[in-house]
Amino acid sequence: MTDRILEGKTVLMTGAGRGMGRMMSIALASAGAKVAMIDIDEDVLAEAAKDAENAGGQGSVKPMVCDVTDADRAKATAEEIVSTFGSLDMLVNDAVVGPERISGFFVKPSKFWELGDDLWNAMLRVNIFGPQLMAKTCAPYMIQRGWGRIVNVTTSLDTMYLSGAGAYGPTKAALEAHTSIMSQDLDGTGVTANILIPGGPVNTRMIPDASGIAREKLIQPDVMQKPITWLASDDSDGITNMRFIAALWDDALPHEERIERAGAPVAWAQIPSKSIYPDD
Amino acid sequence: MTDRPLEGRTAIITGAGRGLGKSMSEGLAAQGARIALIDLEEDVLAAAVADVEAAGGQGCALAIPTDVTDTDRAQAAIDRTIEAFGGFDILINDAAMGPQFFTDNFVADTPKFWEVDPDLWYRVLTVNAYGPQLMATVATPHLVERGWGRIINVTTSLDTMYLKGCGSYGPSKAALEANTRIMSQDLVGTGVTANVLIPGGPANTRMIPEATGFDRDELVQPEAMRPPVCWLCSADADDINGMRFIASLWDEDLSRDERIAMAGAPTAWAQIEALGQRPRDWAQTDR
Repeated sequence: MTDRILEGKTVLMTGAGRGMGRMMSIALASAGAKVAMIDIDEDVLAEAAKDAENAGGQGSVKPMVCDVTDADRAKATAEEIVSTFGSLDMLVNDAVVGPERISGFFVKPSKFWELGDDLWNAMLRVNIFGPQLMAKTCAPYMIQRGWGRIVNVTTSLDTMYLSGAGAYGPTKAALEAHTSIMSQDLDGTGVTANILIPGGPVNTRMIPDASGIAREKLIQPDVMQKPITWLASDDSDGITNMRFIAALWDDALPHEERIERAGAPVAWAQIPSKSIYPDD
Repeated sequence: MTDRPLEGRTAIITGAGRGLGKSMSEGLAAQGARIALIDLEEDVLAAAVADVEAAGGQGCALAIPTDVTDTDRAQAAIDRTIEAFGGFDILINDAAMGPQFFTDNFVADTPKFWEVDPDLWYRVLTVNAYGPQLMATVATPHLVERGWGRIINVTTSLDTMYLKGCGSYGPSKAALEANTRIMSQDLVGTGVTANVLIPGGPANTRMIPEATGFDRDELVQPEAMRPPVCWLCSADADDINGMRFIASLWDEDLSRDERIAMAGAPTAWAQIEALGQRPRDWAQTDR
């Protein structure tokens, strides 16, 4: 790559084996970052790591099998990353149990009372508890160095209440809200918390072939590459509590126009529906 | 009889032992509904049942100690209600673990997200987000079969969903808010509706500990939930689905339309237009 602007930075990417996590890992490695690629699927992860290492160079990538909901494994993983690469500067929470696990998703949607409890709970555990656990584990390393990034992948605001996708949408709503809390808690530490979403259905396994949508019309997972690279860079210092839509990200625009076009406050802060406090 | 318009209706209310859940139980009972009160603690439930019967009459209330995250016990609670009252029409998901589990004072003493015990964080998420999903799952087939029903979920103010220092409380309510909108879509055409009812600000319950320093008289009082919950459970709200209502803005002196305009909004954040981009061919389908 021409510009290795992320040289010296180490990223922990969850869900790195496939789809957007894989494409983001490739982009970050090619921009000079060290990338610890986390997934639970060892075979897929090994392949993805090969791709990322090709992009970033020998030794730029470390594939690590880890369940993001396992506190002990998360802790050991973070420690190993720091001892291998010397720091842990960025966490990207991309791992997710997606709606493709629900039979009939996109084809014959299930009603909320027809869903299996186990899958609903697995989504809750992986999609929202997982990012919290990983952030809790990684944040102290970043705070100690006075610089860091947490980027959470949620979804479009209306997908958060998409019928037939089980707990997928609600868990992303929870992660969206929690990103704002992370950002507030990190105020003044040099560490930021933001959201990056593709902006619509993406050409990953999450959208089954049976959906009938031409795959080339879906958003391609590589749209995440430019905005995640920017979020990992010093150029985004001071940007926190924001959500960015990758499909609207245009590197050709000046910095401020880019942010204006693709960015918004996290969650639903635009809605004037404030809690009424006694002092109000 | 005129002021007991809910005669013949039965409501299952979770978190009915205290606070908003208990107050709603009393309000509905006073209008003639029978109430299955669900809570974890038997002694708290027993006291609540006595108060609800004082409001609605002997035999109108039934205590069912249940953990709303336990599949077998949730189903057993439904079965017990049907056995005792012959069926039910209303499910109110009020049970929740509040900010007080993370801090005595969410105004001044707010633990950071990396300081919170992961097991507690997950437990609160499970009780507040999965509990209502489970209760709705076991309750809905009965409601749909009867062709009339209500699911009312208690979430929180939109900005409290990202209030720092309260662990997973806010995020869990964001999940429930979104899930309510899913429920309302899935229930279209069944005669059953799903809506959200919130107090509108910190309420005078144990969820707001004394250490927060609020003047308790100035907090939203739990009784504020009664008029809107009674209305939501009445036939007058048959066409209300996928809405959220703020109890402290509910004004019975206003006309129906004005009341709804004043206290109501779509569930979740549906007003925001920054929605997902869809491939053109998807947008043209009926999905």
